[in-house]
Amino acid sequence: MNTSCVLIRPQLNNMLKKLSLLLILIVSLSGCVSEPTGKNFDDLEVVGSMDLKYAQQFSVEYLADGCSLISINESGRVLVVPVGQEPPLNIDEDITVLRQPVENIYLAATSVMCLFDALDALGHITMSGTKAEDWYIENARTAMESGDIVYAGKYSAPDYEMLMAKDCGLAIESTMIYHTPAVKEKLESLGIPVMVERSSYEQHPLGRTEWIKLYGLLTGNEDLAEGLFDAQAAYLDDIPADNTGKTVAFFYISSSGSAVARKSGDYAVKMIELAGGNYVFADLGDSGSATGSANLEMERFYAGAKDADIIIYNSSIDGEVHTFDELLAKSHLLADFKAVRNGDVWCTSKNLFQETTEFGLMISDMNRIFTGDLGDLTQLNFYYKLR
Amino acid sequence: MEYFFQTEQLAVGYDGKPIVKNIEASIQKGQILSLIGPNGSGKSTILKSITKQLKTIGGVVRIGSNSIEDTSLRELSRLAAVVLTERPKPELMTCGDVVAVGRYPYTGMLGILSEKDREKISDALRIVGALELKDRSFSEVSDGQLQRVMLARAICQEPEIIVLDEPTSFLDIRYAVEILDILRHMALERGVTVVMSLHELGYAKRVSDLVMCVKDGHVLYLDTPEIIFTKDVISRLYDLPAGIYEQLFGGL
Amino acid sequence: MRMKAKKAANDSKRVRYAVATLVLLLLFTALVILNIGIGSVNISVRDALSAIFKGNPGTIEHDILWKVRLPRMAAGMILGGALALSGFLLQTFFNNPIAGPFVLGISSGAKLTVALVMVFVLSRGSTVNSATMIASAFVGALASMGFVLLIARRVRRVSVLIISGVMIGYICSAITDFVITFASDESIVNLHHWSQGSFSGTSWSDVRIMAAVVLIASVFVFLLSKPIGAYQLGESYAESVGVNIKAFRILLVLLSSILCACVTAFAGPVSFVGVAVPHLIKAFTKTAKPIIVIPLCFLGGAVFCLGCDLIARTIYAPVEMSISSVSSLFGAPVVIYIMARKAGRD
Repeated sequence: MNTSCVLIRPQLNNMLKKLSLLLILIVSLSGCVSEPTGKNFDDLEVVGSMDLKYAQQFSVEYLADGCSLISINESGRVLVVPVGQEPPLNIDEDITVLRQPVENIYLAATSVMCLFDALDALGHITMSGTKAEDWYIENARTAMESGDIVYAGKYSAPDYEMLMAKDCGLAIESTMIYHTPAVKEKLESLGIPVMVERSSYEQHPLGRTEWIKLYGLLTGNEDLAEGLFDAQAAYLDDIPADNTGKTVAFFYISSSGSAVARKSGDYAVKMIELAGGNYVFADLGDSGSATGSANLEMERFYAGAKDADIIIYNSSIDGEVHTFDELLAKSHLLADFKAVRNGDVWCTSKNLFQETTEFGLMISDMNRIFTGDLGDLTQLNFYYKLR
Repeated sequence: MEYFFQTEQLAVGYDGKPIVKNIEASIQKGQILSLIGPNGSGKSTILKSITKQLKTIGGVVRIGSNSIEDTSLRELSRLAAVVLTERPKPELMTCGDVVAVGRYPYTGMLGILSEKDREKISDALRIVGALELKDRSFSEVSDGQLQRVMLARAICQEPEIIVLDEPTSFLDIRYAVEILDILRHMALERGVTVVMSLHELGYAKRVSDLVMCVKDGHVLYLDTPEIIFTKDVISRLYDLPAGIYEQLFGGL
Repeated sequence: MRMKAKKAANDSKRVRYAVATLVLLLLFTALVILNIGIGSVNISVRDALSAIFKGNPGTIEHDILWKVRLPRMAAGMILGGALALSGFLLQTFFNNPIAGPFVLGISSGAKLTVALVMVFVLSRGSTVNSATMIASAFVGALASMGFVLLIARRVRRVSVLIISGVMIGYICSAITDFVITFASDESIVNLHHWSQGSFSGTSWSDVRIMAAVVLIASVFVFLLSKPIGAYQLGESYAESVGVNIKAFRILLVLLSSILCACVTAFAGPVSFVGVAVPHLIKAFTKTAKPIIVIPLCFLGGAVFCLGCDLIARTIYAPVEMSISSVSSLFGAPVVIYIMARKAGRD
């Protein structure tokens, strides 16, 4: 990948910012302080776009006056106006206008918190749609316990009064909000901008991580975001390209006794493939873009996973297993499995779903499990071996 | 002779199947017609049909000069009032409230009672001798009182004809006789025509102007009590074994 | 002497009605004030009243009151009244004290259409606006009402109607469960949340529509006072005094269903208001006369819902309890108590 291109981006961005500040200075000095100095939105040229390696659900265009126009797939557009600048005139109706840096964010999309944490931008969030005890991210929990972030009701029933009183600058919602359209409409009618984020729809795991660049833009931490992303991308680049030939089963047994596995288009499956593994349920789901999980009927599960070389047990929904006894207690069928008999069963550490910023490292971990490049280690960053 | 209530070739039944056919009756205003006959002979069916509660199968029923087919439900409610076998169990209604339902055809859109309505309610209760029950809860009265209140309700409707289905069942002699006397009073003094079914032959004999005997799907006899309440007619009507009639009715 | 006694009886009745009305109005005013004043943000009653009457657009207090608290309160009043009336109609019609607005399977029908929208539209990635959700719930409710009406036209016996209503409810639930198997986890969660009922997020345009529908339907109900009064003696007697039973039956089911469908569409199923409030009103006024009971039921339903909503949104703030949990909590014991008292007396 052309890393030099990556380095130039922030410089160009900074230059543009300086240019526009100069422009404002000149114009204001000439006595036009009271009038909005922005140009007509339609007249603004696109002078560049954000370089995105893996993300496909959003794109960012840089405009001539220094503003950035974010387009999120099926979720509309957001115009980010730099500090101290006036927004352009005659902006299209459907565009949400935000001023950098965005403050008093109400976060109702849990998967985004770790991105803010990595950017050290938790201060921009003052309201959460998840309660303190439900956060795995240490800093988030502390912030909520100390009152820096307050619980403002879940996405489907937010505390409108609190949001209004705290002058909420942005409500970041997941696509769950589409099931309760009345809430979104209400927020908008109260003047609170709503952004429906779609990082969970990225097929490539690092595509999810790349959303850190969007949030970096919103909070004014573009450089830091770039750096963090590049580090994770580097992990991926370091993995040997060839397939390890190992077959991998990634699933959990639900409380009702059925096997739940990710569909073939899901990012977790992609991670396995990037790590050089072969997911055993390669055809699960209707098409290649099937995301999410599916309940597997026992026969299919057995047939598919019985001969898998490695099992990675997904503990994020139903809880961790540490020993083989615990595993077999979930389903006695597992005793026949090749990976169980060979002892090649790993389990995810519980916080898997909330650590979007470390996918590169996660894939690297998995690659080590598949290649066996572990030495005597039974515990990696995100996985541990069953005893 | 002008008849007030007439049936011509009347056939009644359920679901298109006739239970009683060829009913021909004519009574004048202010007369009392009683229907007698064995259980299941169709007396109730006839009564339900003449008040349009049940669709007639064939023939014509006339009240006044019009066929009931041509009479709207509203007009019919001003002509005919009923006392049925069912005992309503309304909650939180006083006897006065129950009787007030009889004023339905005469009150305005919201059913608010005028002074005149209230007088008629009291009148009706007075006639049946139940004025003191007016403010009592309907669910607390005895059988005899209940029957009188239902009759007051019918009277309150100011009908030209009252139709009653077994009004004296479950009543002991004293109350039964009271009811019949009230009916006779309504017929004689107020010219109200009465059509009712009765089990008790003694009562029927005492109060009727005409008696209709219903059996086996048709009307056996329609005549005055003197002719009906004889050994031959009654024995035939009820299929009584020999000698029973004298035993039961010898003295009456 | 007797005249005096009679007059006294009448007077005491009137006094009862007046007291009942007064008490309800007082409760209503108190709850309105409480609902205006209480919320996540502290607004003193004085500030609240000045924001309402003098208006201070732009201030936080004004916005919160006008955009969040007042529309929600309006919804609670209107829909509470609608539920109580719907319950009263059905209890009279079925002569059954535990009949309620949802006995005719209306909420099951609405839940089915909402589930269909969630599974087949939202899961595909398309979006709907809240108006569509509301409309789909309304359609589902009215569709199940339509089925019951079809049966009502052919059948004379009222017990058959109850059974059909319950059966339609079961059928709709079964189909919903079937639809759910195709649903994503999100749809299941959201459908469950919808079926818990909530007044949160009401907008003024919602209020306008529900006010129009409910008020028109309620006026019709009030105009039916006379035949309802006759109906209390039973169908046969009602018919004999001139009530067109077939039309009456259809109108009753229609009005009751429209009221209930309106509530379900805008707020989801809210249980027990329709069952408990008519009992409370009748127990206090000691009458079943529709002219008295109908307006008082509406008022009583409004009061009940305002109270329940206040509790639902404040007791664990900012977490909102579902309105159905609160209304069942208060409504069910009321019904049990009244039934027990009645059984004791019989």
